[in-house]
This record gives sequence, C-alpha cells and structure tokens, in this order.
Amino acid sequence: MTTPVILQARRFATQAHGEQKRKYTGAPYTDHLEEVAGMLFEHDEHPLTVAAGFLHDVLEDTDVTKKQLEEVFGPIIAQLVWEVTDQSKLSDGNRAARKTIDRDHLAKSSKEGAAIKLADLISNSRDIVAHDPNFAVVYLREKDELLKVLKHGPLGLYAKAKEQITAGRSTGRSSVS
Amino acid sequence: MQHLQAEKNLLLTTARLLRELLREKPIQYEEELTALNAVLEPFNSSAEEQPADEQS
Repeated sequence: MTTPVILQARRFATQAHGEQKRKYTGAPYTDHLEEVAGMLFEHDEHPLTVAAGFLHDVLEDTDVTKKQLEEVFGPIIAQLVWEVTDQSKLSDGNRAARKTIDRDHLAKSSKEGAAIKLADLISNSRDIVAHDPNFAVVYLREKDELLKVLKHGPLGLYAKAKEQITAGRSTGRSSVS
Repeated sequence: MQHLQAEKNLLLTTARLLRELLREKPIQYEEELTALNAVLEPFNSSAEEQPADEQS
C-alpha cells in the first residue's frame, strides 16, 4: 500500500481522528481504519477505494468537510467517503427511523462505496460480537438488513460480511437460549 | 424482417452502451489516480524526510 494517494490518505485520516479511540478496546481509532483499508487492499480494490477506506469516517467523526476532501483528494474519493457517511440526524427520529435513512442512502452507493461499507461492517461486527454480545444482537440484525442493499458490492467482501453476520447471529441466539 | 433488424440494432446499441459504461469508470479512476499521485508524491517525500529533521 505504498501509492502516494494511499499514504497521504492514511496520514490525513490519522491527523483528523487525532486521539480518538475504539469504543470497546481503547485501541487507537486508526487500528479500525487500517483494518478496513487493509481488507480493501487484500480484495484488490482500486487504490482510490483503498484511500477512501482510510478516510471513510472523517465526515462522520471529525471536523473535515466534503469540500476539504475534494480539495485534497479529488472528487472520486470525496464522493466515495460521502456515500458511506450516515445522513441521518438525531432529530430524524428513533434509531430505526435513522437506520432506514442511512440504509436508503447506502442503497444508492457505487460498487466501490459498497466495498468500503462491507469492509467497515466486517470490522465493526467483529469488534462488537467480541466485546458487547448484548448489543451485538441488535447490531447484527440491523446489519443483516443493511446487507440487502449492498448486494452490488464485490462478491468476496459481500460473502465475508454475510458469513460473519450469520455466524455472529447464531452465536447470539445460542447464548440467549 | 424489419422487426428482426430493429431488434438487432437495439441489441448492438445496448452492447455498445454497456461497453462504454464498463470502460468509463476504470479510465476515470486511472486518470484521477495518476493526477493525484503526481500532486501528492512531493508530500510523501517530505514526510519521509521528517524523522531525520526531528533527530537533528
């Protein structure tokens, strides 16, 4: 992953997320970004998609704007990051209503945008199943619904996400019963 | 006969549009990647030099 655009995306994301940590482990937030970008790289995604993988949370979790992303990384990367950024606001209603808005937004994503979201979903599901089994029941149900609108993503990542969610849900069910 | 010709034309047009669609994105992506890499390359070099600066 030594292409200039990927290295710069990694640097930019690291600075933008600053001292942010992962919720359950307290690990640097960049661990998650590395995992998502790494998965995209392993699945032979285009370098612009891998770069967008590093940047996928900057619009949601930092002060960086889409305009700034466009200025530094051009329209394609800015568009990909926007495609995977939640559009709902707290004022849009309860969790289910907000998830519907975000799911409808993702349904319109490109194949590359779907690839980033699938890698993000795999990384987050792994974390939540390992550290918060109660929330995992709700989370995996939501992600199962989300998968239905991500079928246009790359087959390999889709299959991996589906497998992980199915395994997580069956583990959840057996631990509840 | 005319009907068959019309169908053939439609198929050819669809195939051409599909080819264009499939081709458009990689070209667009490759062009943007080349342009971005050219612009960002100097920043990579300066980042590599940074540790040496810090040591001094």
